[in-house]
Amino acid sequence: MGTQFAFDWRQIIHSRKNMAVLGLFMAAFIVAFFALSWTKRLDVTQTSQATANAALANYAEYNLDTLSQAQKPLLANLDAQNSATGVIGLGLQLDEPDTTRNGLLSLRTAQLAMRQHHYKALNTMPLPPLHQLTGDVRSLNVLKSEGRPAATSVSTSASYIVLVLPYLGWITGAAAILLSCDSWIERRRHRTLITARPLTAGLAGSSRLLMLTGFYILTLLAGFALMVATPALIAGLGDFNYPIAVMGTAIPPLWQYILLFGGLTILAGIWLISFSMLVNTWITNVYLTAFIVMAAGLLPVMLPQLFHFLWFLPMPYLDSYATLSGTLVDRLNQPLASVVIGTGLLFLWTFVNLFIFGLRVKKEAA
Amino acid sequence: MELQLQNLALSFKNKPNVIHDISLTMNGGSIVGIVAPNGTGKTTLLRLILNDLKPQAGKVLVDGKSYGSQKQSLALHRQMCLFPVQDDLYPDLSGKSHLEYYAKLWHNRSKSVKQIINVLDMRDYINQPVRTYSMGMKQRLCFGMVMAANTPIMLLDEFMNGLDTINVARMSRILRGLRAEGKLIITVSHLLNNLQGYADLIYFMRDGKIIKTIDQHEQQPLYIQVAEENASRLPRMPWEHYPNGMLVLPIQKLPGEHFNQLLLGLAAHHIPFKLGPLDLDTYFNEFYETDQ
Amino acid sequence: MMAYFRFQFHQLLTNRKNLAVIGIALVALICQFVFFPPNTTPVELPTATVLTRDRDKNIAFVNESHGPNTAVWVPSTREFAKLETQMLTAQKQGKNKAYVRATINYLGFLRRYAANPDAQSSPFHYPLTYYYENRQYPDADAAYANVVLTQSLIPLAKQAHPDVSTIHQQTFWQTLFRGALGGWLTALLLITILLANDLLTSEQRHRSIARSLPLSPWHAINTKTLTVLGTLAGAVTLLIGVTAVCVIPFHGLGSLTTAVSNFAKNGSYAYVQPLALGSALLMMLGLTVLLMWLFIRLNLLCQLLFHNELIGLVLSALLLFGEPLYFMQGIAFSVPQTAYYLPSYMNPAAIVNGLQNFRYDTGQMTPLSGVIVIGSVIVLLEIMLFIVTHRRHAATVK
Repeated sequence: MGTQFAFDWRQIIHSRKNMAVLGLFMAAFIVAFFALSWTKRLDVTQTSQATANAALANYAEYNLDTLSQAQKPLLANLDAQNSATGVIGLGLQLDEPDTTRNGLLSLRTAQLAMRQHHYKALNTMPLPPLHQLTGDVRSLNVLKSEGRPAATSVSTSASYIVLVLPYLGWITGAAAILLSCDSWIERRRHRTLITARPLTAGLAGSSRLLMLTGFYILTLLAGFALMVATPALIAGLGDFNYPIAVMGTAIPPLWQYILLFGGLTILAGIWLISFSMLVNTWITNVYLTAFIVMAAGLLPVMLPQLFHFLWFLPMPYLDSYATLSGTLVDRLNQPLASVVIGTGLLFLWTFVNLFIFGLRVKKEAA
Repeated sequence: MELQLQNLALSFKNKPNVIHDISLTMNGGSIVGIVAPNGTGKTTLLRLILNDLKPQAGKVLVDGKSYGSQKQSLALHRQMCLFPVQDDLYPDLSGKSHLEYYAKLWHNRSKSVKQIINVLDMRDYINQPVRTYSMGMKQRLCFGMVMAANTPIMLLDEFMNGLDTINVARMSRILRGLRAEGKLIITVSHLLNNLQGYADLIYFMRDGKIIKTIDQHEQQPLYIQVAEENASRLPRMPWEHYPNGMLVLPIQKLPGEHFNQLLLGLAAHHIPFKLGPLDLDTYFNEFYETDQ
Repeated sequence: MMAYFRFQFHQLLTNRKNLAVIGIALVALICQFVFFPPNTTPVELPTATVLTRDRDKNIAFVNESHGPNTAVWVPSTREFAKLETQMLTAQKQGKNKAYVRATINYLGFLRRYAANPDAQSSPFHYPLTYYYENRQYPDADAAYANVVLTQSLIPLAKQAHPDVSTIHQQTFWQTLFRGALGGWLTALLLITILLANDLLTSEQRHRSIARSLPLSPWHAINTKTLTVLGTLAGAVTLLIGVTAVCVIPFHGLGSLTTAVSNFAKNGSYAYVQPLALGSALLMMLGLTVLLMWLFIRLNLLCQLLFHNELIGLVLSALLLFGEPLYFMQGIAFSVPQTAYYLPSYMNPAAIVNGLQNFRYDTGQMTPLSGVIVIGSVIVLLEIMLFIVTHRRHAATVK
């Protein structure tokens, strides 16, 4: 068995495609840091300015709506959001992190109130999902009570990680798909070599899955190392005790959150790898395999209404950030789409993939 | 058509003197065989002739012209065709497509693809995709492709691999026909007895050099060959032990009456013997078996 | 040599990767027409329902009593309600010319009075979609769209019977332009990259055949370039065909003389001028072909130099998608060189209609600049390819 592991590992690390994925994954974090620092794309200045503009426009829309007195709370809420963005701007201009944090807290509180009261402007304001707002308010309150600043721009390692978290799922998912899209096809290219060996398909499949997962973990670790190292060389590590909400309720520090996030990402990666291997037993085209797996992963994003009913499938839980933050619950409008259930489903469906894979391979061998 | 190799030399990083000062002249209307064990530079020599590899010394001349500028190289390239490797065939294309492709690229107008298909007896499967072919069918197709190119120089690297005796005989017959058309055919083959049947010149290679040349048109020295197990029954004579288990005696070393007596003696004692030139297998064993 | 071209063309079209790419693109295009049609009515043109609601709200505002803070807005609100009524009436009566004129006045009004950070108490605003899409400068973006739409409506206001589909920019020719602006050209360039990506490296599997062919490497790569361009011509024809099937039966062909707007800037003076759709489509096609040529040659060069597909893929992806790495709205104002970066010219439709000029706050990013920038890179690539393929031992396969 060790021989097969070593053989599969050597094949994986000698694959130019895999080394390219590793290299690109690592390069992406370095390039993204500099690009985000330069363009300030994720900075709170940009998001709060956009909110201010939207608040003004919506205020204008509903201010003239004298058909109902019920708009007064909405107008007050829009006013509160607008003022909060002003406080944020002031804090940034005067370089007062406490002011900025308090402004951000006021903004999120007002936005949360808008969600909870289902004000008319709900669909015309750029609001984060409910669970994210709940979590943000809790995190910001913790920061306020401890007198710590909020993460407002991509500068230190911690702030880089905090601000980039919602987008990590795309890149880690892409890496898993690219690594595994030819996981079982390789065997077909060396059929006489492989069929002659005294090895069960189960062992061969397990070995391939384990070694690919190992390489995937290595890729994630390498990327994470660069995510920490690149900003640290310029602005320092930052606050790794930064509170980040899970399901809008628990507030673990950033370093614990990273462990949870990493675990869920690895599990999602394992599902993608096992699914790719399964698809490979039918389809021998690498590009088509990658497309099918990618399409499966994107379905919940494109058709969230459908996955309100299909919550028991594993695809929605591939987005680790959405699952952990609880925004998946909001996106699918499905309270069952929680972290615990998501984790369990990913495990379950991985086993289902492997089971069907085993049947397919047995059929092939026969 | 004259192909000249002048002092060719080539070394690789982990293998020095793969080709070491080889000079040969080969003319059209002949079949030249190159013999050596595996991994000793036969294919490398063919690749040097094709300009697929650049020699570190020496040059290749075709009718006095060498590979120079790209235009010159292309002109020479159009004069020769290399036997393709089976694995390099396009699996989803039919054999006929491969033949037509080669015929068109080398502007062959004199020999039709249909003719080639008939000569090689490929009618039954030529329109099917190559991935359905057996090894022997692919070998015939590859040979057909070289015929379809119809170039004055043909480089055939182990082209008899995987062929049954009928097809070996067929290919040998075709080679003789191509020679009669004035082609220069340089072939590498491990079927030495078969090679002996059609080759005009045979070169043995070792350590990057040509160590023996056999011109089949020249009178070859005769030998008496007897199996070693009969050694104790043989008269005392300068028998040479060969690695293939034979005792060999060159006839030129014997005066006339001793030769007659020896023959009569062998026949009288019912000792099987062979009288004739040494075959290529024997030469091969002599040159290469001792190395091992 | 026709035989080589035919053979390579056949290889390109029977390559399963290429078939997958084209198949996926076709499916994506059909899905787009089903789920996210590229020819929906522009968001700047409100529907009858929204107009009615807004008009009634404005009339109610005018009719109620006001204090000094809100009384100042009564005359303009009355005027706005009147414009909305004109639009609704014209729409109801099917008087397209009157509708176009009323719409132009409506858009002009919004341009004058719409909410902006300096006039915080303005009761008027641009379409709210510009705000909840989380744009950095929604007012500027909406104002741009407003002006551009107005410019394209002005010629229609002079026609006796303008067509509704043309007003709503839903005809076949208009859909082609809007689709191009919306991402079709990016998809086409992506297809180009994926087709060209393994033109030479795939020959590694047929080495002994590829190395012994009596063809110069220069001839080989030129023939391969033509095969990809031929395939892309087919892809474009397919795209046009699908669009024709989905649009013409419902909205008609339209006219190539219909105006699209071209945003330009002369110093600090920005203006919008009409541009015939036919000319716009031709310029767009020209720039697209140049970009296709660029990507094919870039990938061929990378394969010749490095003998693998990945480097070409990464470089091409960086060129095609790399603009966000350095783009900030209005950047050319402070860093004018960015107006000449190649990744900024990856959407020919945005160059032709001046959207890139607006985004970069410059007047430099014209189709001619596009030709110069893209052309310069192509010339450089051609020189490098020529040198590499004319070396003494040049070969397309290692």
